Amino acid sequence: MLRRTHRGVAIIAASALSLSLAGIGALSSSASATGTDGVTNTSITIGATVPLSGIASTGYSDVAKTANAVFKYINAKGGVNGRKVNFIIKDDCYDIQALGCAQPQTSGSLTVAQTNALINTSGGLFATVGSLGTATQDAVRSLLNSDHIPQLFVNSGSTDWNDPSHYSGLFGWQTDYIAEGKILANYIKSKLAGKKLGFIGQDDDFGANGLLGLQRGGLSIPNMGGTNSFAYPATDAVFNLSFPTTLATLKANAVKIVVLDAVPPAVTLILKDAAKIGYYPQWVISGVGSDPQTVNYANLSKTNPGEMNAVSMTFFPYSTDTTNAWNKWIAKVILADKADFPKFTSKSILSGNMQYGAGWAVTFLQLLKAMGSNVTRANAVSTLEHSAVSNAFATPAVLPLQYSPTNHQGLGGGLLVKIVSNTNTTQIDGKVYSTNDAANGAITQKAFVNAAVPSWLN
Amino acid sequence: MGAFFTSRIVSDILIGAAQGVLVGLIALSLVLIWQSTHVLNFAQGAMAMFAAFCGMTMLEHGLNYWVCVLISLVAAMLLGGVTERVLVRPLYGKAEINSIVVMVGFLGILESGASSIWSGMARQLTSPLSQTYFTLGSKTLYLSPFSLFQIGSALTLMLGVAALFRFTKIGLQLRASALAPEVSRLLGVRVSRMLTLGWIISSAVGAFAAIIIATSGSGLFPSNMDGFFVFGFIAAAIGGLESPGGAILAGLLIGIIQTFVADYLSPSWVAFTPVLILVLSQLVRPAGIFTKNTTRRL
Repeated sequence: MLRRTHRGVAIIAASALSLSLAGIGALSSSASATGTDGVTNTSITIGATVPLSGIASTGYSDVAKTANAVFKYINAKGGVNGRKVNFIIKDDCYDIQALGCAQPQTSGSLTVAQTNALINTSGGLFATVGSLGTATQDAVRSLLNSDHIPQLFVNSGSTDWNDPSHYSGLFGWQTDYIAEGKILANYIKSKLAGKKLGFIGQDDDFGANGLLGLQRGGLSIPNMGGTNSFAYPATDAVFNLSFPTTLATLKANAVKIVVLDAVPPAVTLILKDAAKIGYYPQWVISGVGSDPQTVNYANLSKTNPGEMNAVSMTFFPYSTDTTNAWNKWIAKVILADKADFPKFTSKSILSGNMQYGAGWAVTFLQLLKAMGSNVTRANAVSTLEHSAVSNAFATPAVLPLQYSPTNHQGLGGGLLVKIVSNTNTTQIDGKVYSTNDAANGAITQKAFVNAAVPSWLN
Repeated sequence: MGAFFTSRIVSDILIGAAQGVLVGLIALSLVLIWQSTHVLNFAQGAMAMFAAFCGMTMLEHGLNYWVCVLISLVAAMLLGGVTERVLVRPLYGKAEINSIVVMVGFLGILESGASSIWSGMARQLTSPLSQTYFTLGSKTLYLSPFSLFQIGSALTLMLGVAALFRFTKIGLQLRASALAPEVSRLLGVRVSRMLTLGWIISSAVGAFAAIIIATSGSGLFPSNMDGFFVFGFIAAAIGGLESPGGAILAGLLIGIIQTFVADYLSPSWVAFTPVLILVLSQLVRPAGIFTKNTTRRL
């Protein structure tokens, strides 16, 4: 569900205002010389760098907060195998030390500085778990690798996390953009065949990989810049200039299906600008940008459906499914955390961000349980790579993790959903689709089963 | 004639103008503070956002849109006045870097504060006027009732502020207080009140822009003014920091040029364009394109 955003704006901000924009890549390793690895008989210390403030924090603070709520819930029940999880969250402002960043300025990368702070935690750090961002985590993977600290469940759909031969301790978690594109392409080919197609994508690896997935899935959409295929700069999610002309062209060309690989604020603008010219194609939106609670398009009606009826993909149970055991469990965990979620009530609907945070937090708890008494970094990596074990982890995701010695990506598919209101989604065909990134990689489908929550988590 | 108004060039101008006046309004609010207190207010966008939140969240409680706007403007004036008295006043006479550091810090406080109070989630503000563009025949004319209001109110505000400075006693006192506080004081101008007044007017203009931006764009959220603030800052610099008209015109210019760049070259160049315009304008006219005062340089 996570993405890079607003970076262009911040780059402008920094250059225009002469604020120091931290250069990513100034890796100054300070090895953890504490001699311990964050594990005692009664606790395990992990940490994450996430944007709690600054230009990219909007809407995403719920991810780490929900993960923390999961850990607090389990700790209150005595932890896992007698160990409580000590989860340290550090604000890295998405490594953009410009407007809105609440952290003191550093001369180098803030993500590197905060990661070093985690590494130097007294008593040691077992692993980073659930750190957020593509560029930010790319900037610390060498540092963590050389310190032999696992970098688990990076919150990003990039394929950069799947490189076991160079980064043995690095693991992604969510379905990557290419696999998602392939599954969306499969749906378009079978259910919306013969209609004219268009594409709008963010002009970085998010848009490019999403489009690559659509192409590998067999759709004939040209690269961005070609006919009916448009790139937008991340800045347009704030400062809207390209969408009106883009949408006018798509409307004039009678494009009936438009695929969006865009972040929520950009999706909102695209829907609004289309409505302004009376253009209502079938939208197909990447899970990154479709969460209706984040897009929150007002004034849904028959004449202006907004995001209603848009097709998307999620790797969690759809949000209207209040009978789903995992949805109920996550709601229970969040309700128990009044400190971080004072406004959440028994009637509140989970957002995609909450499901996401719970998803990787539960995966970590499963890992901890599977390691038994042998809680070491090496065993964490080999347990995840042991497919028979890790691929059987019960998590809130609707499909199993695909970790193996050669695959560190994580999930490989999801459930197709339709947006039904500005808070809710529903499933389309009740099937879970999974695939890999390869052009010839088959797409398999299985009925979606409401999986049980393990009793030790309850 | 219809073909002309719906042509690609006119469409780009109209789209750019609607965005550009918003940049211009932010620039105008920066100029107002600069003119009254010679402070570059880096928290201007965040103050506007915060004030907009104060009123516009009342929409969820069923209040009328315009009543919410009014509440926001009052909140903005209070915020502007209190900020000047509490945060900025102790900094007068000190190095300019002091006020910049304080205002950047204030920006962080306001954004994280808004996030804590109202959450980081974007709120959609239901528009009181239709945002659907008019059509001429089968073609789109890129003007809607809301964008007409947007452009019209920005120009009215600009003229109002210009008239205030040029033709009223208060305007004269405002300018005098900023340029020569000691002399003004000797002449009986209540300088301290004038400085506060400058911040009050400026905050209201900024909050108005923030409300329009949230209503026409991707909603109201804690960082939704960051991008506009940067472009507004550039527009103010191009306009010369002294001229309300220059600020609005520079904003318009930025919006329109950016739309042409997005349409004819590549959307990826849009963010870079204002900086390029700034550099070129500073090379040609370092004191600002629209300023007559040649003694002040950036």
